[in-house]
Amino acid sequence: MKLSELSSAEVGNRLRRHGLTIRTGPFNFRILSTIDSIAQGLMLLYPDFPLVPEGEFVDFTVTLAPTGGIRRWWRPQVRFVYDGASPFAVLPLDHAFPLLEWAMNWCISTQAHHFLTLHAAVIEREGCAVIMPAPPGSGKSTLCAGLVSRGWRLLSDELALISLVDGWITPLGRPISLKNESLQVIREFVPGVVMNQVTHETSKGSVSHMKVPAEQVKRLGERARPRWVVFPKYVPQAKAELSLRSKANSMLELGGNSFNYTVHGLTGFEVLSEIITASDCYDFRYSDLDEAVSVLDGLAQKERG
Amino acid sequence: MTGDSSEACFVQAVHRLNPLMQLHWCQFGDDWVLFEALSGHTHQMDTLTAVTLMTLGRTSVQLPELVSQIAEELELPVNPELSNALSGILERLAAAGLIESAVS
Amino acid sequence: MTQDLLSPVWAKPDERPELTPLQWETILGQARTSRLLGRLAQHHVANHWLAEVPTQPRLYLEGALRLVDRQHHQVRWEVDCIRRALKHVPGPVVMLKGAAYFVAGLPPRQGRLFSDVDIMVEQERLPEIEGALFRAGWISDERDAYNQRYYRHWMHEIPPLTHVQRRTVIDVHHTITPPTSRFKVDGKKLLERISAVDERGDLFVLAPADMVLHSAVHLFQEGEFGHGLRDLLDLKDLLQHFEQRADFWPGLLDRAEELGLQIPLFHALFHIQRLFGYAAPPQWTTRIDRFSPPAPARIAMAWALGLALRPDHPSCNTRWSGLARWLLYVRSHALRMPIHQLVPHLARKAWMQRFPAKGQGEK
Repeated sequence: MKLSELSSAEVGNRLRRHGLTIRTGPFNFRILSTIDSIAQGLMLLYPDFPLVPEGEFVDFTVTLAPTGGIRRWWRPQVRFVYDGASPFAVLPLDHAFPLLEWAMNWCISTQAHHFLTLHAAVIEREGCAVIMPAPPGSGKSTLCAGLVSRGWRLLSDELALISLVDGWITPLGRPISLKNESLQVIREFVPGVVMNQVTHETSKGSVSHMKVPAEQVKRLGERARPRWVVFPKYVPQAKAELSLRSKANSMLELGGNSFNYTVHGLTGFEVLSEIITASDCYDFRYSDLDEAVSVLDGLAQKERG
Repeated sequence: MTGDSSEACFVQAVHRLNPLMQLHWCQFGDDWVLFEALSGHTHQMDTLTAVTLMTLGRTSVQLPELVSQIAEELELPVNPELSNALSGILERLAAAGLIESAVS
Repeated sequence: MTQDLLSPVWAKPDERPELTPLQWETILGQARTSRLLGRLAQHHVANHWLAEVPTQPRLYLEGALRLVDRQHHQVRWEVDCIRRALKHVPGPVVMLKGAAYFVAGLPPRQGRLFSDVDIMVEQERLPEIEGALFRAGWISDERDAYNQRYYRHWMHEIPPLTHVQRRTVIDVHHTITPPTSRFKVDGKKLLERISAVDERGDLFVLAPADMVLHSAVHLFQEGEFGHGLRDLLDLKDLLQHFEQRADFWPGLLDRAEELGLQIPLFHALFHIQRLFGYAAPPQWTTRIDRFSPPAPARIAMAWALGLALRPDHPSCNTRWSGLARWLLYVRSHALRMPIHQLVPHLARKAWMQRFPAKGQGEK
């Protein structure tokens, strides 16, 4: 059963009482919240995601609660609560939906040690995955959103889940986060794009999330083999260009962009070294999104040809 | 200690791999990546540094002997540049806790 | 639901926990907040039960085992770094708490996650030790002058030192309780009975009875009950390990009297018996009972501790748990500082939590 099959009254009811449980890739989440924007955001962005059957184990229970006291009415705020404690600072109430997304990422990155997790976007074409690690502000999410709208399949925009056994990547497939200038860029690039209302003045600026196409959500059970590691960098007016990059350095960068590389010790080292050995590593400068997509399409074509 | 006598001490020192180290290597051409399992640290290094560390893993040596072993292994000339390079490498490896240097 | 699913695991250690998916969610949450996830996982491994845990919860137990394994490597490395840093400073270096269990190969190290390393040295050596650690890269993060004073004068430690590269923390003590504490202990008495960890003779641990007493007094003095349950389990492990030695129990009781630590020991033994069913041999019961504080204090403590030692998890908290924890936190500060210092200090701590100064890390 999918989320879209519930009425909005029922969605609200579950969120307020025993929790709305949905499956996002390999993780079951239970979400509890009395906040309207949470219900609205979930119905807009997650309609195609399956609900968790009754009685099945839930990996993470996240609560987004308004704070009490005078703050219930005056400059209302929201807290993320996990295991009875709040890992993050309190935020203004209208940040509730982005906070939910950050909270879900936090749960996975701090506890899912059955994967090697990287802070990176992953997209797939022709059965091969591109891993795009990048510090915030490199334009990785914009690039990711653009590619996903032009035939590439989304595995994740933030968290790469890498198998410790064979190095393949498991999709997470959650909505793509976008901020600031990229909001307008993507609205123009993708006619009819479905995006949540924009939250302004967050620590990252103005943010929103883009819905993942339904046919891609259906494929969340399909893992992908890593084939390229691409370090993107948005450079104004730059021609889109891939340049080969030191493998050793790329390996260290992947480790440095990992949430739990140090937890995995030797296994983490071996998994990364296999990925790097099997992958071509590039730096990627770009400015125009169409051009960028076409250069990366070229990589995929070489693979097919 | 003055500069001269400390250098003399360093030359006389015997260097070897820290016995607790557990080294795992991966190579990409002239670039090496090392994982040390005890500390959990991952290091990137060039061939000269990597071969130095591997040599010290097999044997304890003083600097002059190290220079000639490495020169032979990598087919390099034995000259002051090589000696200085290796001396610098030894300092960095010691600072990272990977090797021990004992004045006998 | 106010059910403690964790303590029964160790109260009946030979019974394999059989839980519904929802109970697995609960017990994992309780284990997380009690810092017992690694231990719960290790318990399953030791009994060959891991394969019978349902697939998804098992992933989180295995994840905890990876964390524990990695941390064990790191503690070994950290101890090696400390040994090298302090090589030329004379006098013993005594490992305390988790690091001690680790270097001495004691049972509580199984499944344990380490945070800081604690060491004890002779009081006169503190400046030299601090200097040697500084040269090796450990520096004090504490830039607030008030907290510096708190650490140096009222507590028993130099402020925790953080290593600039590894970000690991070392706490250097010269005794096991603050000098102003009701339970003052002279570090020299402890140093008389330390034993070397190996033939290198540079690293030591406390004598068995002293290790037990340190654990007991630490539990009731430090004011942090987030891992009270774990510390009690460690203490039970120590007792079960050491009681195989002849004369351990009379020796422990004698030493408790000698160091004035009867009351913490009494509370510890009481709760270990209540939660895990483990008790001292019957011939010592009368003598242990005499260690108890007067009835009103004892009953109040038993109530407060009983609640505070439950896993600090919403599934397990009653309306009173928060109050109990707060009372114990205030009390343990009262054990550590004279009262006229206490209230300004607590108020300041609360103030700083709300308005941390720029550049101060969060604990």
